[in-house]
Formats: sequence, C-alpha cells, structure tokens
Amino acid sequence: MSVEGYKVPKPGYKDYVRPWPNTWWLGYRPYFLFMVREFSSVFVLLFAVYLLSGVIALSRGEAAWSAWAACAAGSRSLTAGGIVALLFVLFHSVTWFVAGATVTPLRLGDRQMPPGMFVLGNMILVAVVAAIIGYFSLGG
Amino acid sequence: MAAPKSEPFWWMLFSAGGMLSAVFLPGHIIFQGIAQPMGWISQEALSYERMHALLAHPIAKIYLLALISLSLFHAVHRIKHTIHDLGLHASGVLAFLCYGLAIVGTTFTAVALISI
Repeated sequence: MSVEGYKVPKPGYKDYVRPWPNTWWLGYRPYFLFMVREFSSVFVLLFAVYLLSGVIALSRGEAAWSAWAACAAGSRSLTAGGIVALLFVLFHSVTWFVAGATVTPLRLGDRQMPPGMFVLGNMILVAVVAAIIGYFSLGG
Repeated sequence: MAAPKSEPFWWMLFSAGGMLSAVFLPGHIIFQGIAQPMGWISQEALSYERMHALLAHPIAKIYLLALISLSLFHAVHRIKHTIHDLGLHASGVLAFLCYGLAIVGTTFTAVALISI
C-alpha cells in the first residue's frame, strides 16, 4: 500500500515502537483511579459467583443449603472479603453514575440536571434498594 | 487493531450488568456478604423452608438470573479489557475464557433456579 507523499520503508526497516511499561497507571492519579474502577469488576465477579454458589446450594435441597449457610456463618475471612468487596463495588456504583450523568443526562424543565445531583439521586436509589434487600434477607 | 463485530453485543451486556451491579450489588454485599457471615441474620430467616419459598417465586428467579448473569458479563468484559490494558494482548484466547466463564455461570444459574 502506498499513500501519496508517504514513502513505504524498505523491508528490514524496523518501526520504532514507543515503550509502554505496564505500570503506566501508577504515578498519575486519574489513571490510578481508572484502574481502581476497572479492578472493581474482580469483586463484582467474585460476589456474583458467591451468590451463585448459594443459589446452587438451595437448588440441591435442605442438606446442601444447611451446609452452605453453616459454611458462610461465622467466617471472618468471608466478612473481611465482603467489606473489601463493598468498598470496591460502591466505587463502581459512584463511577458508573458519574459516567451515566454524561451518557444519559436528565433534564429538569429546560435545564440539565447537575451531575452531582444525578449521582446523589442514584446513590439514594442504591440505599433504598439495599433496604428492600434487607427486608427480604432479614425475614420479610 | 479494529474491534471485532461482536463488540457491541458484549458491550451491551457489560452496560446492562454495570447498571444492575451498581444498583443492586451493594445491598446484597451488605446482607449476604457481611451480615450473614457476621451471624446477624437469624436461623429462621436463613431456614431452608423460608429461602426456598422466597426463591421459588418467579419474580425472584428472573431477578437473580438477570443480576448474576449480567453481573458476570459486566465483570468479565471489564477484566478482559483491563488485562489488555496491562499489556497482555492475547485477545482471542482471553475473550474465549472471559465470555466463556460468564456463559457457563449463566447456564449454572439458570439450571439451579429452574430446579428450585
């Protein structure tokens, strides 16, 4: 292929590839926060698998469910994992709504809803949803 | 490198899962991930009879299938792109492993929920 005004290098000519260390996201705060946001997906995955394990246990009958519930009860490492997962997933929630304020802005009359209000409104929704989940989890 | 033609499809699942996990997962982590292992949920609430009756409801099944499946698709899509950003560009194998995991997880969820 040739483009007008561009000379195709002779075979054997090595292109210069700009060095790109895999630590590019360290040392610059916005890149670091981007990586924290992306890393939240590991906890979304782990917690979805944990929920799935409970659903599978329940589907296998009373003995399997009791064993699963007993295994989860009193587990300090599970509690610690839950707290870390909550922090990462809350960061996911906030950053998701920050992006949402740009992608799907809401209008108040003829003015755009301020991004902060969009994020706050959605986080209130997260709290209300958590209360409903708590209602069903604690016995309804 | 051009994005594959299937990218919009995976992105749509990523986006739907991102929304569901942002809104619903914090509550589940508080109650199933922290309160339950801490022993703050009574034995009656965790009894097989009550949990089975709760999850036997069609709305609960649809809710859990959507939440677990789309959260998996959201997570694996992001993990795939993050691994790429960290310098591992094995995109074909990586895509197979990531989306394969979400598809297997979705199948397990659907089969388990149907048999409840």
